[in-house]
This record gives sequence, structure tokens and C-alpha cells, in this order.
Amino acid sequence: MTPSDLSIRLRMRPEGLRVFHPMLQQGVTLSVEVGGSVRELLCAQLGIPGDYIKERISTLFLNGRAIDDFDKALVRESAVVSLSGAMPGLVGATMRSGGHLAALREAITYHEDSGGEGRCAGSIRLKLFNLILPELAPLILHWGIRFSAQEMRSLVKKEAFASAVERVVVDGQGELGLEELQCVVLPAGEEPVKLSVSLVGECL
Amino acid sequence: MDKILRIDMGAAGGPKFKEEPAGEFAAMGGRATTTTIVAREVPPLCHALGAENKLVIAPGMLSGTTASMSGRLSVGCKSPLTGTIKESNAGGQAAQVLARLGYAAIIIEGLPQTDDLYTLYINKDGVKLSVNNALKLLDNYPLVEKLRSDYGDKVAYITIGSAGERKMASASIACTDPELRPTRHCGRGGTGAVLGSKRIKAIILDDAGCKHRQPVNPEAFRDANRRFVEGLRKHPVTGEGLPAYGTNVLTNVLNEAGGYPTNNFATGQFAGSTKISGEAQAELEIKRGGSATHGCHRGCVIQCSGIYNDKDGNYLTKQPEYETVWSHGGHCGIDDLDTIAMLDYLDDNIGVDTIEMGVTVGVAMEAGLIPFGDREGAIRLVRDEVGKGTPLGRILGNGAELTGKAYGVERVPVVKGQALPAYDPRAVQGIGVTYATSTQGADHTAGYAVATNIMKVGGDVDPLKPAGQVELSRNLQIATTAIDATGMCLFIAFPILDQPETFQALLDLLGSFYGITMTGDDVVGLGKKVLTLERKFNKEAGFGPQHDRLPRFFKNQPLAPHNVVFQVTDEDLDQVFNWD
Repeated sequence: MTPSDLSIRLRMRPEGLRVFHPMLQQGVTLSVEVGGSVRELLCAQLGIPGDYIKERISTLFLNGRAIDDFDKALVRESAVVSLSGAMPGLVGATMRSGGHLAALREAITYHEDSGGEGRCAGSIRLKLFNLILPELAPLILHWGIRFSAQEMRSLVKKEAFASAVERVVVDGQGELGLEELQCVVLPAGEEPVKLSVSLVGECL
Repeated sequence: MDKILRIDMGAAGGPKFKEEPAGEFAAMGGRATTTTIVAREVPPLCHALGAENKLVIAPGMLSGTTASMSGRLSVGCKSPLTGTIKESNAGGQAAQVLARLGYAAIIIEGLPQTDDLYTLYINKDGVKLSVNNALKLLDNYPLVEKLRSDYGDKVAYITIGSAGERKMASASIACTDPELRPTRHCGRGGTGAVLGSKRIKAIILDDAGCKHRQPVNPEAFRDANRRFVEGLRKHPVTGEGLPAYGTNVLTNVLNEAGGYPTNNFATGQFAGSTKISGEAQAELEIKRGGSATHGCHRGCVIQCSGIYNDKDGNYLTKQPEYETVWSHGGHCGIDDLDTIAMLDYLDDNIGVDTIEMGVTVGVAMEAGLIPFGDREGAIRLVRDEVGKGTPLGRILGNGAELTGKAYGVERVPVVKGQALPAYDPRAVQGIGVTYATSTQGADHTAGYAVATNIMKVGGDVDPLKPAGQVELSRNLQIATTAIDATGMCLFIAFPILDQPETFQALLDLLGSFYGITMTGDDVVGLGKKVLTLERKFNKEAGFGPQHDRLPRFFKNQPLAPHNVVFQVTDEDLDQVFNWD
């Protein structure tokens, strides 16, 4: 994300957040500081409480590999981080971080075998699954996600989205209506957009 | 459960039945009962569809009581699909009703001398076996509708569709759910073909006038059940995840792990996974006026199922489970929930195992019959070929292995003739150990996440050492076999894995019901005993270590994105059952 990227802030009613669920399952891009541990990313940067991580995020993947130690695994530039709640089935228990059955998926377990390369501004792709999805969606959307202007245009066209939006603010241009945002402000192509969402009752 | 009903379909002068004392089986149930009887009475070298094979139907140890989650029905026989001993179980209402009627088992043996089709009706006053040729080749949904006009709505139905009558090796036995829909299937291993060979189309169980089975110690039983239910409700899997999303909640995670078999095990990730995920499925079900939370039998507190309506809001099928969504979805390159739901309905209606059928369609796609991703083509193969019993349909209906042979396909994902479920063993290698060595053929439920850490089955295992995979698989298979004997839903595995007090509550349920004290060691002993019987049967049926193997391609075709192959050695696989 560059300083010149279009930055949009929305205030929405909670029911509108469901529109983001498919996108959050597929993964959204976040601007973060990379080079730290998974726990540092989740707790210190994104502000997910430690108790929540312990109690609710039972399975975590880094670049498609199951993690057993959130403190050792390092998040590098363009990393894909996926968060899941408790899962059923033998395989659900097998994927559990630090679980008794971790040996069953040793071939896809993440092992951190090199040191850190220092911290710097960067981006990651974050995916939210199952119970974690509705629970963390507000926090992640408040943090802000990056996607293309084209994806934003698709979002605006959805009735469930449009009907839940109460206020739109575009940095440098003040408060706008959704129609104005779509017809005037949003670029036609794949230009990057940063979107952050607050719920009704929260400050924009 | 003090009696056994034995039906000789081949008796001189026509089928005859008699009742016997249950004896040792009065305090046994589920897989322990079916395996013990099959191992004792069925010649291992017999033809699975011949007169010497027997079909054994048994409720669980706590079925028919007020214990929650106690409604699994086990069916056992020699499998026409695998040639091994087989136990397949299902939810629905049948186990509870059969147990309340007092039966520890129904044993069906012999072959009738005519082509007549029979119904078996059981109520508190007795048993009635009737010829009803009007039911010939009816599939499960219209069959149950027709039976309801005769027997009403206050019974449980066990039925086979046309696939069972045609003795297809993927044929299932259906049990009706609380709404009397034939949606709960003993799916694996072709048990429906064995019932079809006996020419029994439907079993109607009527428990009018019967009461719940009474525990020896009612107060302790009530207390144990309360603690057991509390444990289920407070655990995030059984109290939240399964009720909200069902088993299909696994799709996103398996795909993320690169262990989601796609396009007939060609790769480990499916681009369309989020379109068919449990999250997407639940949202669609609710939007269409269905439900994402529904129990398959009364007394279920987990409610992992649901109701899937079509685009017009009309019932189409029950919520397809993860295995079904995978087999007809990612395995076949299909990313459309409506197509998958239609295939789920067709499988239930025709009466075939959704895993076997989906994997078979994927193998047919590999063979070039239709391309991967062909939604209409997949429906056509199941509905118009398998459902109508065409020559092609009979090949497909006999499973993935036969279809692979018929079309010269190398990559055929089966063990002992049974299709692999929805986890690639190259990514999750420990599950591959269970697939390879299970007495049942490839089966994801053969070694479940059942409290091995609490029970210390086989001693402590270091879970972070690869060598632990064999030990874990062994322990899981022992523990799972024991749970299968109780007749409890396997999903209780999660709270009893994590919560020792819930495991204790289960032991107390069993103990207070039968007036005994049960320990973890007793459970382990039961599991080992049943597995030993099954291994002995299989050995005498011609199975040896060479059959405890995954297909070769898992060892020489790396799986993307992690580019891994199955690495557990044959020597290690041969150590799984080291107490034989």
C-alpha cells in the first residue's frame, strides 16, 4: 500500500458484515509489520486478546502448514496466516495446534528453521474460518483490509452491503454517499483501495 | 435387550424366524455384537452375497435408554465391497426403537428360494414377515412414503433402495430420521447389497407400548447423563462448531492444509473450496429457510446436521456432510452446492454410499467418461446410470475399484476395495496408517480422536515424533472400536478427548446402567477384543500384510502444494496390530 492509495472508511450496521465473510474466508490483505512472531502479529498488532487466542484459535496455519508454537513461527512478507476454531473429526483434532495428535500431520507441520530478518512494514494475507470468522471479522475490518477498486465496486453493488452502510468517509474528500463513491471516486480498474469498517456506535 | 431375532430366509417352505435369549449379547452392543456374531457364524471364505453370509443388526449398549447420543445402529456382515468383515453404522431412530423392543440383535441368514420381496414388521406383540412385491425397485424416498401409508408415522424404517436390490457393492442401508426421511445410512461396504440378497426391502420397527430401557441404578444414571450432556454443550466442537456448520466446517481447513484431495487425488487444494465450505453451506441453508442445525435422532444434543432446501425453498436433502461435499465436490472438481446437494439426495434415494459413489464418479472423470467439473454429467451418471441399473450404472454402483479396472485407471484411491475418504494421506500421514491397516478398508472413522491421551491406550506416546504415527493409529483404532460398541455417536470423541470429566461421565453412564464399574482399561480391552476378532476373520478370508497398504501412487506421486508422498514404511504398518 502506498500513501496515495484510496482510503475508505465505513460505518455499518453489524448485519452488513456478513457480506465480507466469503472474502475473509478466501483471504484479505492486511498492512502490518512483518518479521515478528505469529503471536506478536495477532496480539500486539491486531489486538486480539491473549485469552481469545488460547481459548478460541485452536488451529493456525502459516503458509498452509499447521503451527504448534505461535511464539517461534515468524511472519514474513506476503505470508498467508489462517485462523480456525475447534474442528471436528480425527483430522480436526490432528490439525489442532500443539495437540496430542500432531504427529499424524508431521509432513505438513510448520518448522521455523531460520532466524528473523528484522522487522519492517509489509503485508500479509489473512484467512478466517468457521467460528473465528464472525467473531474476528469486526476487528479485522476495523484494522483495515486492502483490495482492488474493482472488488470494492462489486461490494457496493450488493444490496446487503449497501443497506447496512450508514456513513462513508474517503480520506481527503470527506463524507460521501455510496453512489458518489461508486460513480465518482472509485477508479475503474484494479487500483488498490484500503477499506476500514466501524460498527454503528463506534468512531470512524 | 434380552432377546435376539434370527430370521432364516432360506428355510424349507419359506422364510422362518425364531427368538433366542440374548445371553452374552444382552450387555453388549453395536460393533462388538455384530463382529462377534459374524466372526462366530459366517465362514470367512463365503461369498458375501451367498446363503452363508449373515447380516447382523444391533443397537448400541445404551440405545433405547434416555442417554444422550446413544442412537447409532450397527450393521455387520462380510462385505461384498471389501471381502473383509464389515461394520457400518448410522444415526436415525432405528437403534432406539429396536432396543426398546428388547432386541440385542437381528440376524438375517440364508437366501430365499423365490424372487419375492419381503417386509419385516416388529412390534411389542411379535414379528411379521410378509411378501410385498409392490415395493420392487422403489427407491428410498418413495418407498418410505408408501410404507407410511401402511404403517404410519410412529415407527422407524430401515430400508434399501434399488441399488440394494440390484446387489451393488456400494449399496447402503437407510434409517429414517425423526421426520421419517431416509437420510441416515449405514453407508460403507455394501451392507445394502447383503440385505438385498436376502430379499428384505424394509424393516418396520414399532415400539408403541414400549418404555425406555431402565438402568440398574437410575439416580446415578441420571446424574451421569446430566454431566455427559453438560460436557457436550460446553465443548467448542460439540457445543458450537458442529451445531453451527456441521461436519463440512472441515473443507476450508483441509484445503488450507493442502490435504483436500482434488480432481481424484491429483492435487491437495481446490480453487472452489470456499464456495462449498461449511460456512457457505450454512449461510445458504438459513437463507433458503432450511436449517443449519438439526439432529439425526431424538436425544441428540450436538445437532450436527441440517436441512438443505432448493432455490425455491423446498426440501431437497439433509445437510450434506463433509465427506459427501468432498466426494461429489472437490474430488470431482465441482464447486456448486446445489449440484452436490442433488447428488446427496440421489445417493440417499437410490441407496448408495456417498463416499463410494462420489469417489467412483471422480475415477470415471479420470477415465474420461465426463470431464472434471461436469455438474450435469455427474448427476446423469448417478441418476440415469446407477439409479436405473444400466450396464454402466452397474459398474459404477460396484464402486471405485471396479470402475478403475473397467476403464484402465491407475490412480484409484481404495484400500481393500473401499474408497478413501476426504483426507489425503500424503498430507496427513497418520490417517494414512489407519486407512491402510483398518480391518474395514479405507475408513476415516476407524481410528477416531478418542481420548487415547486420557485412556493411555498402549502407554504414553510422544506425539511429536513421526514414529508416534503408528502408535497413535493403533490406539485410535482400539478406542474407536470400543466407542462403536457403545452405540454412541462418534462425535462425543471431542469432549471426551479434552475433558476427563466427560469421559468419566460416559463410563458412569455405562456403569450405572448395567450395575458395573467401568474403567478406561475395560474400554481398551473391549476394543482390542473386537479388533482381534476382525483381524482373525480377515486373515481366514485371505487378507494379509500385503493388503494393509495404500495404493502405490501415494508413494510415488507427490501431492501439491507441499509436494509430499506417503512415507510410512511397510515395516511400520505391519506393527500397528502388534498384540495379535
